[in-house]
Amino acid sequence: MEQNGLLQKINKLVPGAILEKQRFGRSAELCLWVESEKLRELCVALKNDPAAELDWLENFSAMQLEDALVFTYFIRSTRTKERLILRSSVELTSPLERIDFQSLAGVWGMAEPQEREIAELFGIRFVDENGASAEYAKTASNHWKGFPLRKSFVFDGDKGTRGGPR
Amino acid sequence: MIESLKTDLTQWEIGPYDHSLPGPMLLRLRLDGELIVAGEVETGFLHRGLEKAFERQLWRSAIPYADRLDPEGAVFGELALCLAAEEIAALEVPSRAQSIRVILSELTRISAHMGYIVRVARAVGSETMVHYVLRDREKILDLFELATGARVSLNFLRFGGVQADVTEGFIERVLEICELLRIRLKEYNDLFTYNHAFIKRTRGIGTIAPEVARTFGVTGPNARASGISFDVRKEHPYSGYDFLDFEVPIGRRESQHLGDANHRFLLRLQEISTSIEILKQSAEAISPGPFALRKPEESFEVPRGEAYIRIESSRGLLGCHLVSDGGAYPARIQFRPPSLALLSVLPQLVRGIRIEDLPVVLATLDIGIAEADR
Repeated sequence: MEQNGLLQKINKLVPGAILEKQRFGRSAELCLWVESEKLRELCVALKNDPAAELDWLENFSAMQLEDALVFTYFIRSTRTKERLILRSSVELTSPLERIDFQSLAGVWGMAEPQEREIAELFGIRFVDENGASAEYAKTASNHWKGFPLRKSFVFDGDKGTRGGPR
Repeated sequence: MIESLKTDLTQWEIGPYDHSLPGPMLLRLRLDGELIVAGEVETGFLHRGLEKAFERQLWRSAIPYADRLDPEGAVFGELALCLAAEEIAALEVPSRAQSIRVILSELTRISAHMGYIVRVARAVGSETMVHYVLRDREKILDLFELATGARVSLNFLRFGGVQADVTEGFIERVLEICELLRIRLKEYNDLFTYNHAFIKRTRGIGTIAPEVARTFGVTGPNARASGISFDVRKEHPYSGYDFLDFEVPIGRRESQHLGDANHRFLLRLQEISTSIEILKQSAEAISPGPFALRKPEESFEVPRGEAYIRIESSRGLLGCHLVSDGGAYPARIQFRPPSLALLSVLPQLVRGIRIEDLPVVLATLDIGIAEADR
């Protein structure tokens, strides 16, 4: 599917979901910033649409940019081999507070283990369409004080602890 | 008397440290007699905070940390990191360095698959096979030592090339080992692969159906054993794989045992053959010229930008999302390890198998706990 065609289709399927269109790094792959409230609806549409059929979440990455957590979804179609990058963000309020964000585990099964990691290391509560969040077994050492992949986390491993928020 | 025996479900916990497990992890099983009716996995016992540690390293010193992503396939972590940084910095890696990277990658793949054969052989109780394969694997580790000075954690790749040119006699020894491994593969097959006891222990158990592999994002030899034709070396060639002529083995869709433990084992043996072919071509075609763009001791900083790179590790698709803010330290390095998907699919695979088959299913999946925990 042509990229312009894909954009038109997205605008028709989930109006107002796309905030901005970008090119990703030197690979220049299409990268769309998505309204966080409409992320799940858009992903369901992209997965089920017979022309797009973006059925595989290859990778899900999170990072902190200034005071926001940015989520990047690398998705592709196993049939057409088309690829698309979706991005969404949420503002950080306090270093110790968990933040709610839409879970995509119900859309792509492979999102679940990656959400589990990000939930623990970035302090996110991924909530499904019913507003419920999964109770995960811990994926990381239980002596982190805070959320280690946030920039506010200070690593003082030399003192025998794993630090905490600044 | 028998009718009055209690037949309640029992609960077992295996791990986090147990010889039948692929690494530190906890398996909670519910058993009906010898039959597993449900399983849950808990991980995190090997979590080292690797992705946080990267943020505290200068660019150059991040490479040995990438080695630790999966100690059994150290070069894959290094390669993914280097390729991502090189894409941001728009570095064209010299052809000789690319060939050296491919040779080290394929030697690592063979070495990792041999480690896999050893674990499967142990799980089914074939000690002879364990000794034969370990004997041959030593020869590959000798080659690593010859080229890089290290046997496991190589720390040899550099941004823009490799640390040093290959040592004298290395290419000749790579070609020699290709011939030796061809003979050894036949020996493994005669001794083990087509042994009826081995087939009986592995056939029809722990089957990953193609749709299950797709749902959970299983990649690599486990997915290919389920008939899924996906290999990053073919789909998104890197380091010159597009100039090499090789076939990726895929499980036969017409087989009634597609995706079972036996298929996964056979596919890895076929992958060793493929790697031998790639090694031969790379070693024969290696071109003279520089092995790096810059002197290894020169400092290096990645300009502001980001990249997402995927490579084919011995366990499947290894992704690396790298973000640089132009500073002396990486802003974010995130890895997408293939073993994460295997841990998700594991509860489904153990359901319905007998407890005696659990070590075989675990061994044939080749889960890398080090990369999953990170």
